[in-house]
Amino acid sequence: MSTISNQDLILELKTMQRKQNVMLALAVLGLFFGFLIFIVGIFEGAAAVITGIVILGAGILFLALWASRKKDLKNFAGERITAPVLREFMELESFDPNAFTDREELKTLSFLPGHNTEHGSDLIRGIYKGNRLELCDLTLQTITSTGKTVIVVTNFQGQLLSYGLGRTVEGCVEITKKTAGKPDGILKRMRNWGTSVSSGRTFENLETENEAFNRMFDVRAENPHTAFLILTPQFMERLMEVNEREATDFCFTGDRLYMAIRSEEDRFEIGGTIENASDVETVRQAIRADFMAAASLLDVLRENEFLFTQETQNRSIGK
Amino acid sequence: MSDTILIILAVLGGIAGVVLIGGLIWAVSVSNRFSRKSVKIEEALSGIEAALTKRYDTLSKMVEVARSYCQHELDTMNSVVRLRKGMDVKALADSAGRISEVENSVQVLAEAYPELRSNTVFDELQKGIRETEEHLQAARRLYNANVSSYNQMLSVFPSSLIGNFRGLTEKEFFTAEGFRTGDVEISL
Repeated sequence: MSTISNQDLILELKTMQRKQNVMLALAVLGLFFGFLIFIVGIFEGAAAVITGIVILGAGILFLALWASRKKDLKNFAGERITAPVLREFMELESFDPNAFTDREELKTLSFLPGHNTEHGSDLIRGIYKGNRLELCDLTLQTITSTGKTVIVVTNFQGQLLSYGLGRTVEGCVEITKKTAGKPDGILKRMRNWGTSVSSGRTFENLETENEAFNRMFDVRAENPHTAFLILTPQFMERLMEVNEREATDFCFTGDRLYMAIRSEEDRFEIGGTIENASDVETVRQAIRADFMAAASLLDVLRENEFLFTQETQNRSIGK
Repeated sequence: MSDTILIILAVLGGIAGVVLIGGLIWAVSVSNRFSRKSVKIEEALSGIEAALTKRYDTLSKMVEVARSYCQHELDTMNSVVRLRKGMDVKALADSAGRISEVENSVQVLAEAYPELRSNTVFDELQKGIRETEEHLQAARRLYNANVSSYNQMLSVFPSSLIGNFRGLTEKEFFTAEGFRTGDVEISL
Protein backbone atom coordinates (compact mmCIF):
# COMPACT_ATOMS: atom_id res chain seq x y z
CA MET A 1 0.00 0.00 0.00
CA SER A 2 1.36 3.40 -0.96
CA THR A 3 2.04 5.93 1.77
CA ILE A 4 0.02 9.09 1.79
CA SER A 5 0.86 12.46 3.29
CA ASN A 6 -1.28 14.01 6.00
CA GLN A 7 -2.36 16.76 3.61
CA ASP A 8 -3.53 14.30 0.94
CA LEU A 9 -5.19 12.16 3.60
CA ILE A 10 -7.15 15.10 4.99
CA LEU A 11 -8.10 16.22 1.48
CA GLU A 12 -9.35 12.76 0.59
CA LEU A 13 -11.23 12.37 3.88
CA LYS A 14 -12.86 15.78 3.51
CA THR A 15 -13.97 14.96 -0.03
CA MET A 16 -15.43 11.67 1.10
CA GLN A 17 -17.12 13.24 4.12
CA ARG A 18 -18.58 15.98 1.88
CA LYS A 19 -19.97 13.39 -0.56
CA GLN A 20 -21.42 11.45 2.34
CA ASN A 21 -23.07 14.57 3.80
CA VAL A 22 -24.51 15.54 0.42
CA MET A 23 -26.03 12.08 0.01
CA LEU A 24 -27.53 12.26 3.49
CA ALA A 25 -29.01 15.71 2.84
CA LEU A 26 -30.50 14.56 -0.48
CA ALA A 27 -31.89 11.44 1.17
CA VAL A 28 -33.56 13.44 3.96
CA LEU A 29 -34.99 15.99 1.52
CA GLY A 30 -36.20 13.28 -0.87
CA LEU A 31 -37.90 11.29 1.88
CA PHE A 32 -39.46 14.38 3.48
CA PHE A 33 -40.77 16.06 0.33
CA GLY A 34 -41.66 12.79 -1.37
CA PHE A 35 -43.82 11.84 1.61
CA LEU A 36 -45.33 15.35 1.72
CA ILE A 37 -46.21 15.39 -2.00
CA PHE A 38 -47.57 11.86 -1.74
CA ILE A 39 -49.94 12.91 1.07
CA VAL A 40 -51.00 16.03 -0.85
CA GLY A 41 -51.47 13.85 -3.95
CA ILE A 42 -54.02 11.67 -2.16
CA PHE A 43 -56.32 14.72 -2.06
CA GLU A 44 -55.20 16.51 -5.26
CA GLY A 45 -54.82 13.77 -7.85
CA ALA A 46 -52.80 10.92 -9.33
CA ALA A 47 -50.05 13.07 -10.86
CA ALA A 48 -48.99 14.36 -7.45
CA VAL A 49 -49.12 10.83 -6.02
CA ILE A 50 -46.79 9.55 -8.76
CA THR A 51 -44.45 12.55 -8.28
CA GLY A 52 -44.39 11.84 -4.54
CA ILE A 53 -43.55 8.18 -5.11
CA VAL A 54 -40.77 9.09 -7.57
CA ILE A 55 -39.24 11.56 -5.09
CA LEU A 56 -39.57 9.02 -2.28
CA GLY A 57 -37.77 6.48 -4.48
CA ALA A 58 -35.02 9.00 -5.12
CA GLY A 59 -34.76 9.61 -1.36
CA ILE A 60 -34.35 5.89 -0.74
CA LEU A 61 -31.73 5.71 -3.49
CA PHE A 62 -29.77 8.56 -1.90
CA LEU A 63 -30.08 6.82 1.47
CA ALA A 64 -28.50 3.70 -0.02
CA LEU A 65 -25.77 5.80 -1.63
CA TRP A 66 -25.15 7.50 1.73
CA ALA A 67 -24.74 4.10 3.39
CA SER A 68 -22.35 3.06 0.64
CA ARG A 69 -20.31 6.29 0.97
CA LYS A 70 -20.22 5.80 4.72
CA LYS A 71 -18.85 2.30 4.25
CA ASP A 72 -16.27 3.60 1.76
CA LEU A 73 -15.20 6.28 4.22
CA LYS A 74 -14.89 3.71 7.01
CA ASN A 75 -12.82 1.41 4.81
CA PHE A 76 -10.58 4.28 3.71
CA ALA A 77 -10.07 5.54 7.27
CA GLY A 78 -9.44 1.96 8.43
CA GLU A 79 -6.83 1.41 5.75
CA ARG A 80 -5.13 4.80 6.03
CA ILE A 81 -5.45 5.63 9.75
CA THR A 82 -6.42 2.62 11.91
CA ALA A 83 -4.24 -0.04 10.27
CA PRO A 84 -0.98 2.00 10.40
CA VAL A 85 -1.63 2.78 14.09
CA LEU A 86 -2.22 -0.92 14.84
CA ARG A 87 1.07 -1.78 13.10
CA GLU A 88 2.83 0.22 15.83
CA PHE A 89 1.79 -2.50 18.31
CA MET A 90 1.59 -5.71 16.32
CA GLU A 91 2.31 -7.53 13.08
CA LEU A 92 -1.04 -6.70 11.52
CA GLU A 93 -2.35 -9.29 9.10
CA SER A 94 -5.70 -7.69 8.37
CA PHE A 95 -8.09 -5.03 9.59
CA ASP A 96 -11.66 -5.13 8.35
CA PRO A 97 -13.90 -2.36 9.74
CA ASN A 98 -17.04 -4.20 8.60
CA ALA A 99 -16.31 -7.74 9.86
CA PHE A 100 -16.32 -9.49 13.23
CA THR A 101 -15.52 -12.95 14.65
CA ASP A 102 -16.91 -15.84 12.66
CA ARG A 103 -20.46 -16.77 13.73
CA GLU A 104 -19.64 -20.49 13.83
CA GLU A 105 -16.79 -19.76 16.23
CA LEU A 106 -19.11 -17.65 18.41
CA LYS A 107 -21.50 -20.59 18.68
CA THR A 108 -18.78 -22.71 20.29
CA LEU A 109 -18.09 -20.11 23.00
CA SER A 110 -20.49 -21.07 25.77
CA PHE A 111 -18.98 -18.50 28.18
CA LEU A 112 -20.65 -15.69 26.20
CA PRO A 113 -24.11 -14.63 27.37
CA GLY A 114 -27.10 -16.25 25.66
CA HIS A 115 -28.32 -14.40 22.54
CA ASN A 116 -30.11 -14.86 19.25
CA THR A 117 -28.59 -11.95 17.34
CA GLU A 118 -24.99 -10.88 17.03
CA HIS A 119 -23.30 -8.05 15.21
CA GLY A 120 -19.90 -6.46 15.33
CA SER A 121 -17.18 -4.61 13.48
CA ASP A 122 -13.50 -3.70 13.33
CA LEU A 123 -11.99 -7.16 13.09
CA ILE A 124 -8.25 -7.01 13.80
CA ARG A 125 -6.03 -10.02 13.07
CA GLY A 126 -2.32 -10.33 13.57
CA ILE A 127 0.58 -11.37 15.76
CA TYR A 128 0.88 -9.59 19.10
CA LYS A 129 4.05 -10.28 21.12
CA GLY A 130 4.68 -13.59 19.39
CA ASN A 131 1.18 -15.07 19.47
CA ARG A 132 -1.87 -14.79 17.26
CA LEU A 133 -4.41 -12.16 18.31
CA GLU A 134 -7.91 -11.47 17.07
CA LEU A 135 -9.94 -8.55 18.36
CA CYS A 136 -13.28 -7.09 17.34
CA ASP A 137 -16.24 -5.09 18.54
CA LEU A 138 -19.14 -7.35 19.39
CA THR A 139 -22.75 -6.89 20.48
CA LEU A 140 -24.94 -9.82 21.53
CA GLN A 141 -28.67 -9.31 21.79
CA THR A 142 -31.82 -11.25 22.45
CA ILE A 143 -34.61 -9.98 20.24
CA THR A 144 -38.10 -11.21 20.97
CA SER A 145 -41.30 -10.22 19.25
CA THR A 146 -44.65 -10.33 21.01
CA GLY A 147 -47.30 -9.26 18.55
CA LYS A 148 -46.63 -5.62 17.73
CA THR A 149 -43.88 -5.19 20.31
CA VAL A 150 -40.26 -6.02 19.64
CA ILE A 151 -38.12 -6.32 22.75
CA VAL A 152 -34.37 -5.94 22.31
CA VAL A 153 -32.19 -6.90 25.25
CA THR A 154 -28.45 -6.29 24.91
CA ASN A 155 -26.64 -9.05 26.79
CA PHE A 156 -23.13 -8.03 25.85
CA GLN A 157 -21.51 -5.01 24.29
CA GLY A 158 -17.78 -4.66 24.11
CA GLN A 159 -14.81 -6.41 22.60
CA LEU A 160 -14.07 -10.06 22.03
CA LEU A 161 -10.36 -10.80 22.14
CA SER A 162 -8.80 -14.14 21.36
CA TYR A 163 -5.12 -14.88 21.87
CA GLY A 164 -2.88 -17.88 21.27
CA LEU A 165 -1.59 -19.63 24.37
CA GLY A 166 1.22 -21.44 22.58
CA ARG A 167 -0.07 -24.49 24.47
CA THR A 168 -3.04 -26.78 24.24
CA VAL A 169 -5.46 -26.79 27.14
CA GLU A 170 -7.33 -30.01 27.82
CA GLY A 171 -11.04 -29.26 28.00
CA CYS A 172 -12.57 -25.84 28.40
CA VAL A 173 -12.28 -23.57 31.44
CA GLU A 174 -14.73 -20.67 31.76
CA ILE A 175 -14.25 -17.85 34.26
CA THR A 176 -17.17 -15.46 34.19
CA LYS A 177 -17.95 -12.45 36.31
CA LYS A 178 -20.63 -12.92 38.96
CA THR A 179 -23.51 -10.55 38.28
CA ALA A 180 -26.95 -9.99 39.74
CA GLY A 181 -29.51 -12.18 38.05
CA LYS A 182 -26.96 -14.74 36.90
CA PRO A 183 -27.92 -18.35 37.61
CA ASP A 184 -26.76 -19.60 40.99
CA GLY A 185 -27.06 -22.79 43.04
CA ILE A 186 -29.31 -25.34 41.36
CA LEU A 187 -29.80 -22.99 38.36
CA LYS A 188 -26.05 -23.05 37.78
CA ARG A 189 -26.14 -26.85 37.69
CA MET A 190 -29.08 -26.67 35.29
CA ARG A 191 -27.06 -24.34 33.04
CA ASN A 192 -24.31 -26.97 32.91
CA TRP A 193 -26.91 -29.55 32.04
CA GLY A 194 -28.17 -27.27 29.24
CA THR A 195 -24.64 -26.89 27.86
CA SER A 196 -24.18 -30.64 28.06
CA VAL A 197 -27.36 -31.22 26.04
CA SER A 198 -26.62 -28.53 23.44
CA SER A 199 -22.91 -29.12 22.92
CA GLY A 200 -22.22 -32.55 24.39
CA ARG A 201 -19.64 -31.05 26.77
CA THR A 202 -19.90 -31.73 30.50
CA PHE A 203 -18.95 -28.89 32.83
CA GLU A 204 -18.32 -28.90 36.56
CA ASN A 205 -18.70 -25.84 38.80
CA LEU A 206 -15.62 -25.14 40.89
CA GLU A 207 -14.69 -23.15 43.96
CA THR A 208 -11.10 -22.16 44.60
CA GLU A 209 -9.37 -21.51 47.92
CA ASN A 210 -9.43 -17.76 47.18
CA GLU A 211 -12.67 -16.40 48.68
CA ALA A 212 -12.33 -12.98 47.01
CA PHE A 213 -11.92 -14.70 43.66
CA ASN A 214 -14.95 -16.91 44.32
CA ARG A 215 -17.03 -13.84 45.13
CA MET A 216 -15.95 -12.17 41.89
CA PHE A 217 -16.11 -15.09 39.43
CA ASP A 218 -17.97 -18.25 38.59
CA VAL A 219 -15.63 -20.98 37.40
CA ARG A 220 -16.71 -24.02 35.46
CA ALA A 221 -14.53 -26.50 33.66
CA GLU A 222 -14.68 -29.68 31.66
CA ASN A 223 -11.54 -30.86 33.44
CA PRO A 224 -11.15 -29.53 37.01
CA HIS A 225 -7.43 -30.39 37.05
CA THR A 226 -6.86 -28.08 34.07
CA ALA A 227 -8.77 -25.32 35.86
CA PHE A 228 -6.53 -25.54 38.90
CA LEU A 229 -3.47 -25.73 36.68
CA ILE A 230 -4.49 -22.43 35.08
CA LEU A 231 -5.83 -20.80 38.24
CA THR A 232 -2.66 -20.57 40.28
CA PRO A 233 -2.88 -18.21 43.28
CA GLN A 234 -0.88 -15.55 41.40
CA PHE A 235 -2.94 -15.91 38.22
CA MET A 236 -6.19 -15.55 40.14
CA GLU A 237 -4.90 -12.21 41.45
CA ARG A 238 -4.13 -11.16 37.88
CA LEU A 239 -7.58 -12.11 36.67
CA MET A 240 -9.09 -10.05 39.49
CA GLU A 241 -6.84 -7.12 38.59
CA VAL A 242 -8.01 -7.29 34.95
CA ASN A 243 -11.61 -7.51 36.05
CA GLU A 244 -11.23 -4.48 38.33
CA ARG A 245 -9.90 -2.46 35.40
CA GLU A 246 -12.68 -3.59 33.09
CA ALA A 247 -15.41 -6.19 33.62
CA THR A 248 -14.16 -9.22 31.71
CA ASP A 249 -15.09 -12.87 31.23
CA PHE A 250 -12.45 -15.43 30.27
CA CYS A 251 -12.42 -18.75 28.50
CA PHE A 252 -9.45 -21.07 27.98
CA THR A 253 -10.09 -23.66 25.32
CA GLY A 254 -7.88 -25.52 22.85
CA ASP A 255 -4.87 -23.32 22.26
CA ARG A 256 -6.74 -20.03 22.76
CA LEU A 257 -7.65 -17.60 25.48
CA TYR A 258 -10.87 -15.70 24.86
CA MET A 259 -11.65 -12.49 26.72
CA ALA A 260 -15.07 -10.86 26.54
CA ILE A 261 -14.45 -7.28 27.65
CA ARG A 262 -17.68 -5.60 28.74
CA SER A 263 -16.70 -2.05 27.80
CA GLU A 264 -20.30 -1.15 26.83
CA GLU A 265 -19.01 0.77 23.80
CA ASP A 266 -17.86 0.41 20.20
CA ARG A 267 -14.16 1.06 19.76
CA PHE A 268 -11.92 1.85 16.80
CA GLU A 269 -14.55 4.25 15.42
CA ILE A 270 -13.45 7.33 13.47
CA GLY A 271 -15.71 9.87 15.16
CA GLY A 272 -16.26 13.54 14.32
CA THR A 273 -15.27 15.56 11.27
CA ILE A 274 -11.63 15.59 10.25
CA GLU A 275 -10.63 19.12 9.20
CA ASN A 276 -6.89 19.34 9.85
CA ALA A 277 -3.76 17.46 10.93
CA SER A 278 -4.62 17.92 14.58
CA ASP A 279 -7.92 16.07 14.06
CA VAL A 280 -6.08 13.18 12.39
CA GLU A 281 -3.68 12.95 15.32
CA THR A 282 -6.58 13.01 17.78
CA VAL A 283 -8.15 10.08 15.93
CA ARG A 284 -4.83 8.20 15.96
CA GLN A 285 -4.48 8.75 19.70
CA ALA A 286 -8.02 7.47 20.25
CA ILE A 287 -7.22 4.30 18.29
CA ARG A 288 -4.00 3.78 20.25
CA ALA A 289 -6.00 4.15 23.47
CA ASP A 290 -8.66 1.71 22.21
CA PHE A 291 -6.09 -0.93 21.32
CA MET A 292 -4.14 -0.54 24.53
CA ALA A 293 -7.34 -0.75 26.58
CA ALA A 294 -7.64 -4.38 25.43
CA ALA A 295 -3.94 -5.20 25.03
CA SER A 296 -2.99 -3.94 28.49
CA LEU A 297 -5.47 -6.39 30.02
CA LEU A 298 -3.86 -9.17 28.03
CA ASP A 299 -0.39 -8.01 29.10
CA VAL A 300 -1.35 -8.49 32.75
CA LEU A 301 -2.17 -12.13 32.03
CA ARG A 302 0.82 -12.73 29.74
CA GLU A 303 3.11 -12.38 32.76
CA ASN A 304 2.22 -16.02 33.45
CA GLU A 305 5.06 -17.68 31.55
CA PHE A 306 3.86 -21.18 32.31
CA LEU A 307 0.55 -20.57 30.58
CA PHE A 308 1.69 -18.36 27.72
CA THR A 309 4.52 -19.52 25.51
CA GLN A 310 5.52 -18.61 21.99
CA GLU A 311 3.19 -20.41 19.61
CA THR A 312 6.15 -22.10 17.92
CA GLN A 313 6.77 -24.13 21.13
CA ASN A 314 3.30 -25.63 21.37
CA ARG A 315 2.91 -27.95 24.37
CA SER A 316 -0.09 -29.31 26.22
CA ILE A 317 -1.70 -28.50 29.55
CA GLY A 318 -3.89 -30.74 31.64
CA LYS A 319 -2.68 -34.11 30.43
CA MET B 1 -66.41 -37.37 65.14
CA SER B 2 -67.63 -34.29 63.35
CA ASP B 3 -66.82 -33.52 59.70
CA THR B 4 -64.82 -30.44 60.75
CA ILE B 5 -62.45 -32.47 62.89
CA LEU B 6 -62.03 -35.02 60.12
CA ILE B 7 -61.17 -32.28 57.66
CA ILE B 8 -58.65 -30.76 60.09
CA LEU B 9 -57.06 -34.18 60.69
CA ALA B 10 -56.93 -34.83 56.96
CA VAL B 11 -55.25 -31.47 56.33
CA LEU B 12 -52.77 -32.02 59.16
CA GLY B 13 -52.09 -35.54 57.91
CA GLY B 14 -51.56 -34.18 54.41
CA ILE B 15 -49.14 -31.53 55.68
CA ALA B 16 -47.28 -34.13 57.74
CA GLY B 17 -47.09 -36.40 54.70
CA VAL B 18 -45.74 -33.63 52.49
CA VAL B 19 -43.18 -32.65 55.14
CA LEU B 20 -42.16 -36.29 55.59
CA ILE B 21 -41.78 -36.95 51.86
CA GLY B 22 -40.03 -33.61 51.38
CA GLY B 23 -37.67 -34.40 54.25
CA LEU B 24 -36.96 -37.83 52.84
CA ILE B 25 -36.18 -36.43 49.39
CA TRP B 26 -33.91 -33.80 50.98
CA ALA B 27 -32.11 -36.43 53.09
CA VAL B 28 -31.51 -38.67 50.07
CA SER B 29 -30.33 -35.68 48.07
CA VAL B 30 -27.87 -34.58 50.79
CA SER B 31 -26.67 -38.14 51.25
CA ASN B 32 -26.03 -38.42 47.51
CA ARG B 33 -24.16 -35.13 47.54
CA PHE B 34 -21.88 -36.50 50.27
CA SER B 35 -21.26 -39.57 48.13
CA ARG B 36 -20.55 -37.50 45.02
CA LYS B 37 -18.14 -35.26 46.92
CA SER B 38 -16.43 -38.30 48.36
CA VAL B 39 -15.95 -39.71 44.85
CA LYS B 40 -14.53 -36.36 43.73
CA ILE B 41 -12.04 -36.47 46.59
CA GLU B 42 -10.93 -39.94 45.53
CA GLU B 43 -10.58 -38.73 41.95
CA ALA B 44 -8.54 -35.76 43.08
CA LEU B 45 -6.32 -38.04 45.17
CA SER B 46 -5.68 -40.21 42.14
CA GLY B 47 -4.76 -36.98 40.34
CA ILE B 48 -2.12 -36.35 43.00
CA GLU B 49 -0.83 -39.88 42.60
CA ALA B 50 -0.58 -39.45 38.84
CA ALA B 51 1.28 -36.17 39.22
CA LEU B 52 3.62 -37.72 41.80
CA THR B 53 4.35 -40.67 39.53
CA LYS B 54 5.24 -38.31 36.72
CA ARG B 55 7.46 -36.32 39.03
CA TYR B 56 9.15 -39.43 40.33
CA ASP B 57 9.89 -40.66 36.82
CA THR B 58 11.39 -37.33 35.81
CA LEU B 59 13.43 -37.10 39.00
CA SER B 60 14.73 -40.66 38.54
CA LYS B 61 15.95 -39.73 35.07
CA MET B 62 17.62 -36.61 36.47
CA VAL B 63 19.48 -38.71 39.05
CA GLU B 64 20.63 -41.09 36.32
CA VAL B 65 21.97 -38.24 34.21
CA ALA B 66 23.65 -36.66 37.25
CA ARG B 67 25.31 -39.98 38.15
CA SER B 68 27.60 -39.81 35.14
CA TYR B 69 28.94 -36.43 36.34
CA CYS B 70 29.09 -36.75 40.12
CA GLN B 71 28.96 -40.42 41.09
CA HIS B 72 31.12 -39.80 44.17
CA GLU B 73 28.87 -37.13 45.69
CA LEU B 74 25.78 -39.23 45.01
CA ASP B 75 27.41 -42.24 46.72
CA THR B 76 28.40 -40.10 49.72
CA MET B 77 24.87 -38.78 50.19
CA ASN B 78 23.46 -42.33 50.06
CA SER B 79 19.97 -41.07 50.78
CA VAL B 80 17.11 -43.49 50.27
CA VAL B 81 13.48 -42.68 49.90
CA ARG B 82 11.11 -45.54 50.47
CA LEU B 83 7.41 -45.51 50.01
CA ARG B 84 4.84 -48.22 50.28
CA LYS B 85 1.49 -48.81 48.69
CA GLY B 86 -1.72 -47.75 50.43
CA MET B 87 -0.29 -44.84 52.36
CA ASP B 88 -2.77 -42.40 53.84
CA VAL B 89 -2.79 -38.72 52.88
CA LYS B 90 -0.57 -37.66 55.79
CA ALA B 91 2.06 -40.32 55.22
CA LEU B 92 1.98 -39.57 51.52
CA ALA B 93 2.53 -35.88 52.22
CA ASP B 94 5.44 -36.65 54.58
CA SER B 95 7.15 -38.83 52.00
CA ALA B 96 6.53 -36.17 49.41
CA GLY B 97 8.43 -33.75 51.60
CA ARG B 98 11.39 -36.15 51.66
CA ILE B 99 11.42 -36.50 47.91
CA SER B 100 11.48 -32.71 47.66
CA GLU B 101 14.70 -32.83 49.68
CA VAL B 102 16.15 -35.28 47.14
CA GLU B 103 15.17 -32.94 44.38
CA ASN B 104 16.82 -30.01 46.14
CA SER B 105 20.02 -32.06 46.62
CA VAL B 106 20.16 -32.80 42.90
CA GLN B 107 19.64 -29.11 42.16
CA VAL B 108 22.49 -28.19 44.53
CA LEU B 109 24.75 -30.72 42.79
CA ALA B 110 23.82 -29.22 39.46
CA GLU B 111 24.95 -25.82 40.75
CA ALA B 112 28.38 -27.27 41.60
CA TYR B 113 28.79 -28.97 38.20
CA PRO B 114 28.49 -26.50 35.29
CA GLU B 115 28.92 -29.32 32.75
CA LEU B 116 25.90 -31.07 34.30
CA ARG B 117 23.87 -27.86 34.06
CA SER B 118 24.82 -27.47 30.42
CA ASN B 119 23.78 -31.03 29.59
CA THR B 120 20.76 -30.63 27.29
CA VAL B 121 19.02 -33.75 28.60
CA PHE B 122 19.42 -32.55 32.20
CA ASP B 123 18.17 -29.11 31.20
CA GLU B 124 15.07 -30.60 29.58
CA LEU B 125 14.47 -32.75 32.67
CA GLN B 126 14.71 -29.66 34.88
CA LYS B 127 12.01 -28.02 32.77
CA GLY B 128 10.02 -31.22 33.04
CA ILE B 129 10.36 -31.17 36.84
CA ARG B 130 9.04 -27.61 36.95
CA GLU B 131 6.07 -28.67 34.86
CA THR B 132 5.34 -31.68 37.05
CA GLU B 133 5.49 -29.36 40.05
CA GLU B 134 2.78 -27.21 38.46
CA HIS B 135 0.67 -30.33 37.91
CA LEU B 136 1.25 -31.48 41.47
CA GLN B 137 0.28 -28.10 42.89
CA ALA B 138 -2.89 -28.10 40.77
CA ALA B 139 -3.78 -31.64 41.83
CA ARG B 140 -3.11 -30.80 45.49
CA ARG B 141 -5.25 -27.64 45.34
CA LEU B 142 -8.08 -29.48 43.56
CA TYR B 143 -7.96 -32.20 46.22
CA ASN B 144 -7.96 -29.64 49.05
CA ALA B 145 -10.82 -27.68 47.44
CA ASN B 146 -12.88 -30.86 47.31
CA VAL B 147 -11.97 -31.76 50.89
CA SER B 148 -12.85 -28.24 52.03
CA SER B 149 -16.25 -28.43 50.34
CA TYR B 150 -16.89 -31.87 51.87
CA ASN B 151 -15.82 -30.83 55.36
CA GLN B 152 -17.89 -27.64 55.24
CA MET B 153 -20.95 -29.64 54.29
CA LEU B 154 -20.24 -32.05 57.11
CA SER B 155 -19.96 -29.31 59.73
CA VAL B 156 -22.82 -27.04 58.63
CA PHE B 157 -26.39 -27.58 59.84
CA PRO B 158 -28.65 -29.18 58.57
CA SER B 159 -26.46 -31.27 56.22
CA SER B 160 -24.36 -32.22 59.27
CA LEU B 161 -27.38 -34.24 60.53
CA ILE B 162 -27.15 -36.56 57.54
CA GLY B 163 -23.36 -36.71 57.72
CA ASN B 164 -23.43 -37.68 61.40
CA PHE B 165 -26.24 -40.18 60.78
CA ARG B 166 -24.08 -41.87 58.12
CA GLY B 167 -21.10 -41.80 60.47
CA LEU B 168 -19.00 -39.69 58.09
CA THR B 169 -15.85 -38.01 59.35
CA GLU B 170 -13.85 -35.06 58.12
CA LYS B 171 -11.31 -35.73 55.38
CA GLU B 172 -7.68 -34.83 55.76
CA PHE B 173 -6.07 -32.02 53.76
CA PHE B 174 -2.94 -32.63 51.69
CA THR B 175 -0.54 -30.17 53.22
CA ALA B 176 2.75 -30.81 51.46
CA GLU B 177 4.11 -31.92 48.15
CA GLY B 178 3.83 -35.60 47.56
CA PHE B 179 5.55 -38.48 45.90
CA ARG B 180 4.90 -41.79 44.22
CA THR B 181 2.69 -44.21 46.08
CA GLY B 182 4.18 -47.42 44.77
CA ASP B 183 7.00 -49.42 46.37
CA VAL B 184 9.80 -47.38 44.92
CA GLU B 185 13.11 -46.08 46.03
CA ILE B 186 15.63 -43.60 44.82
CA SER B 187 19.21 -44.14 45.93
CA LEU B 188 21.67 -41.28 45.77
